[in-house]
Amino acid sequence: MKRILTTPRPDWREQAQSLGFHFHTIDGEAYWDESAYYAFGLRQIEDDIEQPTQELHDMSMALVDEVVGSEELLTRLAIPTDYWDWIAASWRRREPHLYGRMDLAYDGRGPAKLYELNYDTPTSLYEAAYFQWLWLEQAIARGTFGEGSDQYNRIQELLIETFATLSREKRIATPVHFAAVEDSVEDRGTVRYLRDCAEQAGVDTLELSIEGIGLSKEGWFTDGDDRVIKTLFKLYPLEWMFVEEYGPKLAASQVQLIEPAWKAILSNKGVLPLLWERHRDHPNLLEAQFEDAAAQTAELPAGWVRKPLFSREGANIELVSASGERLRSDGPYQDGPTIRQAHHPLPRFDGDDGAANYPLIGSWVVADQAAGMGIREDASPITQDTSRFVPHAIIED
Amino acid sequence: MTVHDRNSKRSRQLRLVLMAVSVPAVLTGCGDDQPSGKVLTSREDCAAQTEIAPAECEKAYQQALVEHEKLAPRFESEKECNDQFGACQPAPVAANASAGSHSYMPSMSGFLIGYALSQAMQPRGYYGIGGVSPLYRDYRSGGYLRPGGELVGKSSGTVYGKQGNTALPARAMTVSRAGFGSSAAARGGFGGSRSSGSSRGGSWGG
Repeated sequence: MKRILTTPRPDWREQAQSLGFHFHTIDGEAYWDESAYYAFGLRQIEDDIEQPTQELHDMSMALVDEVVGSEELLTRLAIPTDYWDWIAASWRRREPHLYGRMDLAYDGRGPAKLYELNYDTPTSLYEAAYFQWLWLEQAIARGTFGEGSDQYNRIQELLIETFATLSREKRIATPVHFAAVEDSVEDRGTVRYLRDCAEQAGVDTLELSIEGIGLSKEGWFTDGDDRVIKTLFKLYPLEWMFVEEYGPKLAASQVQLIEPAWKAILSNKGVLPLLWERHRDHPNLLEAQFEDAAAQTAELPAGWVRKPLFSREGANIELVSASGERLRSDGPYQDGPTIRQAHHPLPRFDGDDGAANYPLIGSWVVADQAAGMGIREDASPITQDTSRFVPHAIIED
Repeated sequence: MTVHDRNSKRSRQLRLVLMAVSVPAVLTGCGDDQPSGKVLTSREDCAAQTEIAPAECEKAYQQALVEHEKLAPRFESEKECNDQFGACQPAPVAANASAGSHSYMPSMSGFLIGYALSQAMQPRGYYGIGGVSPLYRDYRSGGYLRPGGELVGKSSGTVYGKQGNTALPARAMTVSRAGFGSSAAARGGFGGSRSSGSSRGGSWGG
């Protein structure tokens, strides 16, 4: 694994604009960054990323099966009681799921370590699945990369295949409505991309905003044209839906959600201690524990990270490195239950200018298959809102 | 395009159809050959069939009765109602109806159980229930109709393809909106910023 500087394509911005990648630059900050790429060997990809991703995914799915049948575990995960039956029923029916991303710390040598699962509303999908692929194809065509160069990336292909299978087996009702938060350019781009994949699979789709979802007197969800929403892909956290006005209407609405209700279990950081309890010392897991009230108010010891069960965007996280350096982020998720995870720092790859870069691997799972990866890089050891997406390639020495 | 060997870790060919240049979507027809539901004429039919778990079937019957009260066709004249369906009765008067307005509705003469789309993992080989609809026998045609007038079939028993699609009607009158989205609004940080509902940047060294 190496970080290699490379010359950006002169027209990449124009290409991005014409291909619907409207968030390549966000608030004036570059997000897509092709001034460098990460090079891997095939063994690193297959043995250290792909295979562990598959194994961690399978362990997580086995965990869902255990949690839905256990009031004790549902309680530990702080899932609201009112939704237990609905979540369990969605699992019993094996309501289809589409995708998830797990974040891994990997330095090219030791086993990759699981930071967390993003299994309900993962983003950075389009840039990993499509724009990154295009970058390599064009580099090979231009001759800047050898014919033998490759990339770990079958994400889009598997997304289309999954939509086609769900449609053929009639496991989704069409048209499928796709919804994202009105004001998020990035979320709307992600949803438009997923619609694109569904349309390529022959699935009829519609788009609306999360705020635009309506309710009929019969209790069905509707779109702006009074069409009843049968299947809803929502890029919006399940746990937020639970506590909002329409939450209590979900069960009777007959809507089929993607990601389905049972994903509430895997979008919850409480799975990290549960996985550790069941697979102690697994090479790809970091030690993790639930914090009780006493632990929560205690000083966090060196070498630990505190994460809320339901935080997103790296908010409300506290970290104490092994050397005692303290870091903490603000956010809207205080007062909830928390977990502790052993601190495992991200690797550091210095640029030619001496600037530090810390890459985080986002490893994608589509339906139930390890599918590909994308790398986000930050100038600080903590991947935050200022992170950039940097492409990768498989280069055999 | 370059030719990749079959062991490539990446896809050979990718394209975009919506994000780049608009291309009309190819719509797939739905197969009309698969069992998609069952028409039953009475609650007693539940015990005499093997596709649906009997207890679920009973529940579906009760649900159909509730839907019947809400959705049965309404006629201004009793005669008009009886000509088509027979056994018509005055409809319950809605609370907000103007005085003296009467309407008539037929009795429920059957009910449709639509099979669930996803048939995985049903216990003991029963179909899961996707939805329920009351049915009305049209004396002129002999067919079983849904409240909206759609013909489901001429006789009771298994129906195929679209006929069993009870899932949901295509349209319904919206009575409220914006019951989702308040959490995003309250937290801010969504509007076009680097953050999103996912944990983009949500992965601290841990």
